[in-house]
Amino acid sequence: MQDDLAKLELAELFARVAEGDSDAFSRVYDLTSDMVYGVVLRTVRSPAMAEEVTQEVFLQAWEQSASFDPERGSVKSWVATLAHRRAVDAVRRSQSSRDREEKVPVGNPHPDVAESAVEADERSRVRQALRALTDLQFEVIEMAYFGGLTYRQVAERLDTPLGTVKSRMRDGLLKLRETLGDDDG
Amino acid sequence: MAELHDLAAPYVMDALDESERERYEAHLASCPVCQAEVSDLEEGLLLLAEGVSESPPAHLKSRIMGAIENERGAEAVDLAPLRSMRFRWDFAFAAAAALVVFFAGLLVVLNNQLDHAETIAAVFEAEDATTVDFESDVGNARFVYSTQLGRGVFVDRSLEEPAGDRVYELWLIGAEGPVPAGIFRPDSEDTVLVEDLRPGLILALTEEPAGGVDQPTGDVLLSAEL
Repeated sequence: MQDDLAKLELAELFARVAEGDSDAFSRVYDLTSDMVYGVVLRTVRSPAMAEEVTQEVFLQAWEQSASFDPERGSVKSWVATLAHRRAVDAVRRSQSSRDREEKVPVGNPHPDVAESAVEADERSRVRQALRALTDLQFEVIEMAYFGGLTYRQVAERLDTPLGTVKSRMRDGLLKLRETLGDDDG
Repeated sequence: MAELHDLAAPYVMDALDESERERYEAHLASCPVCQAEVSDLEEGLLLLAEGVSESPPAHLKSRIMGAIENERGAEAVDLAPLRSMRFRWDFAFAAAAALVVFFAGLLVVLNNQLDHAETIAAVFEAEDATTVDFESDVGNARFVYSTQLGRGVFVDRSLEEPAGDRVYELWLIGAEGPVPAGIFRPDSEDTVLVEDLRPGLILALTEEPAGGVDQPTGDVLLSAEL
């Protein structure tokens, strides 16, 4: 039962989590918590709130582990989606009465993302990938993903047509994926 | 009105408002082109998510694992008998009643045991945490302890219920004899926090009359030296 969990892939670990194996879950936490906390912190911008949301994300992952469908994507993607959705929900709940505009670094297209990328190989690969984005692509993705804005709000703030915003988002994400593919190949 | 299939990118970034998201999800369910696109875009987005990785505070893991252990312990203990019960109509009512008790119990557990959970989690997460598994005539149990913290957690996994209102009592036995270390019934507690542990003590379990006793009177059902 305790056979080297450290060697198992996330997908295998997660299959065990679905059966209620908390040792496997502990390992999943180790492998994904930096990403979850990073995404949540960057989105909610308060360490205390980020802790709360991160806890919600992992409890949700534990409870819904049986509904995870490996056919539809990777565990990491699934967890990242849970994390971001929770974070955005938290932001939208708390921003209803308050304008977050000053907190969203509009016009600062490559903010802290590159700075937080440290020596690890994977990190430098990410930085490499993010450099592949044009400033305009990065701007809309940053505002939507980390700013918690809808694409309509992004378009409004940038005074740019909706279609342009959507295609910048799409082109940017596909560009990221392409960079990933180049590295793998 | 936006073309639905244009919305894949804002969708994966949670950048749709609620009504648009609902409409898009309905469309996505039956559109293989969009499904493929969403999956491609998610791969790109994952790179961004990983790019902002940041280590959470260490105590967060203990908190989360504690909450999960509690939930799992409660389920293992309270639902297992229901699952194994052959379905019969006279049991149906008992099962329903037990479920009500289980969920009511879970609420109480969640409310009262947040601090308790953190203490328990600290034991599970301790550097020197040691696990002892017991298999006995009255069922299985586990003891996880840390001599650094001087605490342990006794986890009931499948102990039989003692007859009537009798209880299980835990003992720590040292040179000065047995000292009571906690009483419980499997139907109301799934974990028992044991304090004042020292290396060399013996942990033992007996069955005793309701309310527990100062000195053991029942047979030792299981024991381990710490």
